[in-house]
Amino acid sequence: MSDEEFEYTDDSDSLYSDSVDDDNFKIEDSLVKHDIVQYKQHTTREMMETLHKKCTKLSEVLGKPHDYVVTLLQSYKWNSEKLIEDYMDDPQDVELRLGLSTVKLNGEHHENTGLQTYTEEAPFSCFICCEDKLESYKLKCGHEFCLDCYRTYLNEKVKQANVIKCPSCDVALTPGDIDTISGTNGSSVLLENSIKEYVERHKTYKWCPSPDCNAIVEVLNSSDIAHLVDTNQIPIVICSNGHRFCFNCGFESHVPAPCNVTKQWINKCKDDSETVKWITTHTKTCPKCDTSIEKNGGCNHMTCRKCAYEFCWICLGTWDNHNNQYYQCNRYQYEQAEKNNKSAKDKKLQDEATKKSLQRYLHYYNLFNIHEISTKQDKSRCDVVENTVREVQEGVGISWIEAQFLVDSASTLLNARRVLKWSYAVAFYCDRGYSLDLFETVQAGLADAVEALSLLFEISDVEVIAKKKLNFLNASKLLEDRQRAMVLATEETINNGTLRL
Amino acid sequence: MSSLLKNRLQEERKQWRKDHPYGFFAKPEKSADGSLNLQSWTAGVPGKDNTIWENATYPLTITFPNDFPSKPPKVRLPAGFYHPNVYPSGTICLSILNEDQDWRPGINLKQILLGVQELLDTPNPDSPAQEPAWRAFGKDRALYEKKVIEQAKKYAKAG
Repeated sequence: MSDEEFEYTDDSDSLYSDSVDDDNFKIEDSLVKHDIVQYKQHTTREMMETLHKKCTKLSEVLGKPHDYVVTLLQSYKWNSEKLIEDYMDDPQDVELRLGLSTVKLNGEHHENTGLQTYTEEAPFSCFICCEDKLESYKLKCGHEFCLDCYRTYLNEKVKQANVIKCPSCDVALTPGDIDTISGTNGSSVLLENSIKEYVERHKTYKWCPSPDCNAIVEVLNSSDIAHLVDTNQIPIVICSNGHRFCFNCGFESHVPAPCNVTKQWINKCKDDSETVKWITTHTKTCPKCDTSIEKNGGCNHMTCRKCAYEFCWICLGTWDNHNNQYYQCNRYQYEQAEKNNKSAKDKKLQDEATKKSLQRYLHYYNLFNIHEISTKQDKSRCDVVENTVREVQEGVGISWIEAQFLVDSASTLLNARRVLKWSYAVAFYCDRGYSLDLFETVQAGLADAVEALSLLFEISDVEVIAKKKLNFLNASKLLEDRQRAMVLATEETINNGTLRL
Repeated sequence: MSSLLKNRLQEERKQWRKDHPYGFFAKPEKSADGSLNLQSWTAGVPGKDNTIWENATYPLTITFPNDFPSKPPKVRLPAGFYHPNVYPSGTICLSILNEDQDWRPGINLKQILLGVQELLDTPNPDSPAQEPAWRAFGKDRALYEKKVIEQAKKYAKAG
């Protein structure tokens, strides 16, 4: 296959913002194939506008004020279809249920709603705090409370993203009421919280999982996602801040590992890694009953709590032989080995198998973990790459565009290291065999190339950096090629059916 | 007792004495020394006429927490009370009495007690709090009604 085949086609370009349309985003996607997920990027502000537009449209349909429709939609958790259906059916019932109508309120009709002011001579006595106050707010239900109590109440309620009701009955507060009472834009806080709910409730939307990123991605062909995942394709999307993530998992891009591998791997790491690490570093197993034992004192004469076997912590042989030759354990290794040979051979085999599988896991976990840590280090270096670019520009006197190779290389490095990291998760679930041999050869090549480029980023002298521009470009090119090969090798390994989950 | 809590409870008492629905009663408990404990009330809610709950007044204890009215009061029927939404301990499961649901600081005692009266004859099968009454209500309505009427006799109005 020629390289051109992996270039992503530009026909759906309008959907992505230009800033992320970067060369190195194309490589990883030979497996991802951009056109498999059609999506739109959103920011929270755009979402807010979308919601407002939705309200405006509906307010025309229903012939009701905007504020009123916001409250309606909020009560309907932004399910406008259901709202229209119910509203067309029986508008009065909807209004009553949501507290937007006062018809049922004992037929009373209250004038002079809104802010109320009083004088020292005739203050307002608030039912909540039972104090005399000069300012209050009255809703159309006639219930009136002081502004202090109302504000405390609102501060608590805006967090919940539900329609806020009168502190005493079921009449709903409109955004206008909320803003007047809070004196700030309290209703937009409520609306922002509504966005959270909206995004979480609609399967076609997802928050970017990157820390501190509040961008939203909307997938247009959401019905295809399940099929993609079933066929080991990864629905990668890029948020408006350039973060790549898997829309199915809601997790960082895990190319080349398919979603099911990722899920199992993460669960395994969660279950085992910390415990295993602690156990292997802090404990030995009792030579007789295999209980894990932590040595909490200095003496090497151990007595197993479980089976009462007395043994030496150093050679794990029985303590009986230590009476005269204190701590001189080297000679017992031979005896120990002999003893093991004689007895419980089967058990030994079984232990070995468990140990081997654990060791195998630890092998891959360590590799995975090392690259996770390295990614963080690379990332912090790449975060300041803009500064380096400026320094190179100023120090060596080259143009901005000429120094951009640094930014490109940094992003290539980050992507490639992530691919490398996840390839270890894939390897863990692969059967030994020809396919895995090939896979690991490619993997080793990728690891080499990653380290080579990473090494170039260690250079801090701006003049050297400028001189080494060609090295950067070559290393990046090599890395891109190897990354592409890695993704292909993974695809092949999976297609060969060597994956064991 | 904080002044807010005290003022509010005194206000509740004042409002209740001024105006309360027919057949209901509510009063703060008397301590051993004869003083009133405003944080702990006893009350009675009549069953609605023409329902299986009629001709009885059901006794309640109402406990106001220190952070009332931010937090709702705890309202209890006698332990073992037969109703789908009453826990075996007697605690009532009602949305307006739940801090995380519909409790709001402006809800007064009258609204609470009317809410309890309403709940008696219109149980909410979606939030069961005890098994016997909930099961009977759903599966064996005749048994349910028999038990409720027996219970009504136990709490029958004097005279």
